[in-house]
Amino acid sequence: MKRSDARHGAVWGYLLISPWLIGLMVFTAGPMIASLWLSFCHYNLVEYHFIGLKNYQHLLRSDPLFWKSLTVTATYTLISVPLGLTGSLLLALLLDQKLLGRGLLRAMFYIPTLVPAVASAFLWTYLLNKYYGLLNALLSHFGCRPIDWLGNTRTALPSFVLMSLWGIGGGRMIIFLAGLQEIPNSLYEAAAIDGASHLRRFRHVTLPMLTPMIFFNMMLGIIGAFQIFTQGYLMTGGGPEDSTLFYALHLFSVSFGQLNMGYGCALAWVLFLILLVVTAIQFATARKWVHYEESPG
Amino acid sequence: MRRITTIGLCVLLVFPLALYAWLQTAPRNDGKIHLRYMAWGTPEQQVGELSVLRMFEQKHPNISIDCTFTPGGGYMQKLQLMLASRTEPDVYRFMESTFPQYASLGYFQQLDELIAHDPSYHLSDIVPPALKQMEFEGHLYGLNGIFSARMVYYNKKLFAAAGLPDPHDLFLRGQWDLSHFLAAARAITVINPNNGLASQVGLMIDGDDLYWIIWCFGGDMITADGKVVIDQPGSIQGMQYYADLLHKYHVIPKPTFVGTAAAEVASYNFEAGNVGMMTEYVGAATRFRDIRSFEWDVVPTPIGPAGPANLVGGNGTILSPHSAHPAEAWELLKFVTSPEAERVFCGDANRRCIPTHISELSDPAFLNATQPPFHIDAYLAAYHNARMMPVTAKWNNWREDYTRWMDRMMTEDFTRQVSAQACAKGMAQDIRKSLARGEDD
Repeated sequence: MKRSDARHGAVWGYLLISPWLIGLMVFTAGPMIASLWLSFCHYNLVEYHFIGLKNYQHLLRSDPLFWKSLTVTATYTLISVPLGLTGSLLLALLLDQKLLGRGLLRAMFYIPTLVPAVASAFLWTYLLNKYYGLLNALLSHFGCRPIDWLGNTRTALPSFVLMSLWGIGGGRMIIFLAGLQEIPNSLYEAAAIDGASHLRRFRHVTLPMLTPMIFFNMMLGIIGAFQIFTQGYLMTGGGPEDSTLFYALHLFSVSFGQLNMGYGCALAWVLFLILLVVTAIQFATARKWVHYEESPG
Repeated sequence: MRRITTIGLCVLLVFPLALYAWLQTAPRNDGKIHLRYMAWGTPEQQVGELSVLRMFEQKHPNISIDCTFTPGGGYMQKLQLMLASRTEPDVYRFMESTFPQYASLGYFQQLDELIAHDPSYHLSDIVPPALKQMEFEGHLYGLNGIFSARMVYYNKKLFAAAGLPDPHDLFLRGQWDLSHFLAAARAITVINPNNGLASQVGLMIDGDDLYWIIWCFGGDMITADGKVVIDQPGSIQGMQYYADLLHKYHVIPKPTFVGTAAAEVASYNFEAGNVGMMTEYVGAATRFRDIRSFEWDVVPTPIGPAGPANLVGGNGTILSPHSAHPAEAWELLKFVTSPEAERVFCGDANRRCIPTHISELSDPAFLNATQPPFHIDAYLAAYHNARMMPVTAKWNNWREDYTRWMDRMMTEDFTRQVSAQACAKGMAQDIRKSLARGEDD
């Protein structure tokens, strides 16, 4: 191919993706760069002036809610992500079996993830209601007294973890399901011939072959869990006593409640850096436990 | 050929979008001045609002109003972005709790000069609290549009069933006080002994009620000059009374003043008929009018040991300093807050608020009632001893401290519950710190 043809092709390529590129610059990259600048400013929607590192200093030294919200979010992530991964994997294993109505079952388990976040937040508020909630009604049959799930500092955050498990039949399960179907049967046959039990086959064949999917789901799960906002905003507002004050909620309150947008930008960039570091650590450690199938030849 | 096809497809894709965008922004050439107006409200409230705007258009045939209604929950988010981008409407309603904060940022048109040069407008006809609320640093930045007072809505059927005197009769005799208020709540509350839950509660309150209760005991939260006094004896007594409603007398469900929309998912519901009394603002009457299963009415909040104290407040109507038609926008602002508009908002058909014009307080359009609430004297009584919440430019800085400590006082977890005194002192300490921190911003 001549160089002029290649250049010509490249020009047309860029021209045709230019709407997306412009959108990326205007609506994503541009605002990100602007927010980085604003994180070094005092900005209250009207005017801004440069204050150097004061926002970051305030964040680290003078804002107790920064550490509180980070702790709450990290706790939520550390509990909900492994539980969610386990639940999705078990569900995928179940739905990978040759069951009657398997297609219908897969659809039914997937449907909850299609419910918009706002609607599910309201639904769960009813389910977890102390007086008339379904959960307390079920527990009352076992002699439990009504629990104020969202109004008690000890049960509020676990309630959100419980809510997160409602989505185990979603995209994560689909990815695991696809991964399970990619595992060659010959591996299971070989293991069976060697006398491996079902559990050993799961431990030494299924799990290693699924490690890329586990890694992918874990990475996205952690990023998603750190950004939880809608449920906290609608259901508890961060209470009681900040026990459900998620990081994104604190950021929202600072930016749009107190109109301290420069500080909000600093919070956003700190979150970005935390997630960057966490993701980098995951990639670094992935070499030890994630097994990618070697390409033939 | 392929190149021509590609170019043609791109043009076909882009051209309609560009044309649509141009049509949206092109000025309309109908010879009229177009003003933009924004407000929130339930569908019933919007009907009244729209009728007022149409009245204005009839009086000013050269002006057309483009009205936007946004649900209350998302109103401020939408407006914030409009203000930041200088695309706010010409005239719009604004929420009480954030008025000083935004006034301090210079978003609103100062009205002093406009009023001074408008002989048709008289501030003397406006009740002082309504005027004061729209002032910031001595200047007027808005006119109070939807002015309201905290009222006690009561279920007449539950009162009769409990053998209780009508609260309005007690009010007329000057006997509607905190002790009768509590006694009524206790008499109406029915608790299931098997699970400890109430099938019927005597009272529902929320965080705003703490203010008038504290005032009834001679206390306060923050004084007019910004001094935090929530840890003074009267304030502590008021907080104790508030806490006792839940912990000692069990006459209220736990107030859900934390959270936002989901907090309104009440386990008990005045409309369902399982609540004896509910404190709410005047505008709640519009939705309670759908109640068919029992009779209800209103009465002012009860008198305390230090005398009566009525919580009042309104949501202002603001003029944008960036309006392309400032003279017409000023006319619109005056009209939507005028006695004529108040006859629509506050009259028997809507009962959304109480008039801010003194001349309207005696108008038959306001006083006559053909449907509940019939006790319009309760609304008038609200202006006596009227007080407002200590909303300042730093309101959002300390509200979180207030909510956090109220969580601790009202929690039903005994291991974490703090006393009213501890709550008051802790709250005062944290609010002072937050206000001091806010000064550095």
